[in-house]
Amino acid sequence: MNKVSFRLRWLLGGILSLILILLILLVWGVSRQNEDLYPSSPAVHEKIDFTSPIAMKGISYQEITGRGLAYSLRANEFKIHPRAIGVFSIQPWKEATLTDAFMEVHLLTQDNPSEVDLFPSSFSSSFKGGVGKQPLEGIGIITRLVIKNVHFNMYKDRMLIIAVTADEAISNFTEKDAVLKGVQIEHRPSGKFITTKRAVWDAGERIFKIPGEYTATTPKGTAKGYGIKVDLNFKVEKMPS
Amino acid sequence: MAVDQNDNEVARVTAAGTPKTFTITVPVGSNFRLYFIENEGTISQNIFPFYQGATNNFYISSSIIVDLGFVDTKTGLARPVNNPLWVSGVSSAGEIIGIPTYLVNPILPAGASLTSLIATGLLALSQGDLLKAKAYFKAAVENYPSDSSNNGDTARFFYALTRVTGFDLYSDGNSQNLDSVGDLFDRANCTYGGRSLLSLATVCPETLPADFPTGSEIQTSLNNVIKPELEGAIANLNAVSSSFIKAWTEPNSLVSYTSDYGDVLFLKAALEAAVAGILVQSAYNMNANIGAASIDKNILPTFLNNNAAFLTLADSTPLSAARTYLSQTADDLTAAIDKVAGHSSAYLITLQGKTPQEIADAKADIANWKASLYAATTVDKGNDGILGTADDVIVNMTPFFSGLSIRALLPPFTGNKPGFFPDATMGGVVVQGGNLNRDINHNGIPDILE
Repeated sequence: MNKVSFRLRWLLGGILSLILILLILLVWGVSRQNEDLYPSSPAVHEKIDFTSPIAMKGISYQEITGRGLAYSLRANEFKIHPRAIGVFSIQPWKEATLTDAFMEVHLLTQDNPSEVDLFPSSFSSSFKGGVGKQPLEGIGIITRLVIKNVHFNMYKDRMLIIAVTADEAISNFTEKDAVLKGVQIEHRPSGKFITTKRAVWDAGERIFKIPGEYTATTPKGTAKGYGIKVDLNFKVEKMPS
Repeated sequence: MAVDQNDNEVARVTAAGTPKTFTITVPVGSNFRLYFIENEGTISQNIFPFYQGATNNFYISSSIIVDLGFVDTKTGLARPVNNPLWVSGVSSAGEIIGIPTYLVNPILPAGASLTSLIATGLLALSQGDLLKAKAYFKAAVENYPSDSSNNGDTARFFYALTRVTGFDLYSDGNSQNLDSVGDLFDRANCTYGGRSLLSLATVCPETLPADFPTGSEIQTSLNNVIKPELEGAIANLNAVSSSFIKAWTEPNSLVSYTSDYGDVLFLKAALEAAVAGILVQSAYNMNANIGAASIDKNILPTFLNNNAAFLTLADSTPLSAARTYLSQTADDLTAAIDKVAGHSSAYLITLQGKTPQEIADAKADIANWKASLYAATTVDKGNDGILGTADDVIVNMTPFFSGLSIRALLPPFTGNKPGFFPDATMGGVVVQGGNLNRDINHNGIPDILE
């Protein structure tokens, strides 16, 4: 049993928008191809955002248990700002952005890496109020968290085991999944790594799902494939087709 | 709250303390139901019918005290730890599906003035009670249809806003006719409680039941239930004058924002696009036994194989009206940009943070989109470098609105892996530029689908 299952949402929202999405995808997609080929200068987009009710430079978050540092997060910038719909901003509809985020999980020998969450619930609860359907007085609804330039390291007995980097991660809080773009998952002890354009972190299963193409690199060479799941033990499984 | 067999309220108490407790007295010798109202009068208000097993209608034959113990609402129903049916003198009178209508749709005072209806509606809106707000704004519009003052405009704008955001998700007791959004929840076997639009707590099974409405039934419901409501809201907005302005407290932020005609145009554009979407889908065969199929993103090919006619063109007639609505969307969006351009942060909708060039580009994009509805139009000018216009993207939506089978344009699938589009021009829609089958990494999957 699920609160308003994925399937029902699909039906209510999906059917209505299916055709329009196809239309938009068609024209937007082809025009994006030119954008990809000729990206505009980053400097064009660098400007002060006067609409952010909250903006912080340099933040950190830590979870310390009886055995020491368990989880940490550092980011160069945290902002809450209106989530744009084209050129429009509907003021109560916000998104949170973390820029240059460095996350670390520290495990001991007896800990199971496959139980680790990239975004632990205690961190997510920091956003409680304003998230999803829970409004935040004076700000509105924070509809999603966007993390730009993600670095996630998992240590076991102080040794780096898993290093994940992504250009961007997006979580809408209410779903268990976070979508990562431009991803590399590296298993340091073996020197193996997997790269892909898009992966989904499933916080329920505590696993990366890569539905599309990936490139796997080992000390012996490189191979390409399609549709796998990778956990934080770097155990790789084929996704069902 | 307790109601009798005829939905009349017979008792109401407020739970207090930590944890909250209550004692409610109900009449002996008649049937009653209990409803737990959580966060009453707030944006998080939810209603949970009290159930023991499949029973929500109880009969008490003698004067007794029933200790329910802890009552859990996590499942969307209020369920007690202690089974009341085990208490001598309490028996099951079966189940009466649904929530008394007055719990979600208030009974309005007779003869209320326009000012009073608007004030109560705005108060309810600020508290997040969309259904109550809608009822008051509806009365304001219907009782004062000719009012041309700002109050009249206020009633029309907020009725339009709440009639498309304030859908009643609760059961009406008859889910077979699909005449409400709540019927879809019923047919999905979701629990009857916790269906607050802004604070959904209803629980639905992971698997849809076999008798869940078919795609055709949902399509009919969209046409007969949703579309008229959207069209009604558009008509309300068309009657708002360009001088409309009103400050109101937005319920999510509890911040007072000002809305004006720019918001009217923006909302109208969104509604027109939604109507266009319904019209477009009504042109296609959407029939599928959704209950029998496992709708899952991982087995889309199986779904398509089992529903061979899905997304084929059924009747192109609605497409012309859809195009007109999309054209109007473009016009209203452009007008909204012009109107909103000077808005400060005191307004609900702004263009703050956008440069004049970005705003001009957005208007040019909208104009191109509108033109492409009727004729081949350059929607992206590429780099304008040595390639000149050769890398421009030119689109013409006329073939689409004349009628295309989308099913025939879908790529083939091998497992979940999509292949190349059979027609990269999508039936002549893509006139130049933008290769839909571009596959830079040579993995057999169009880049656009990765």
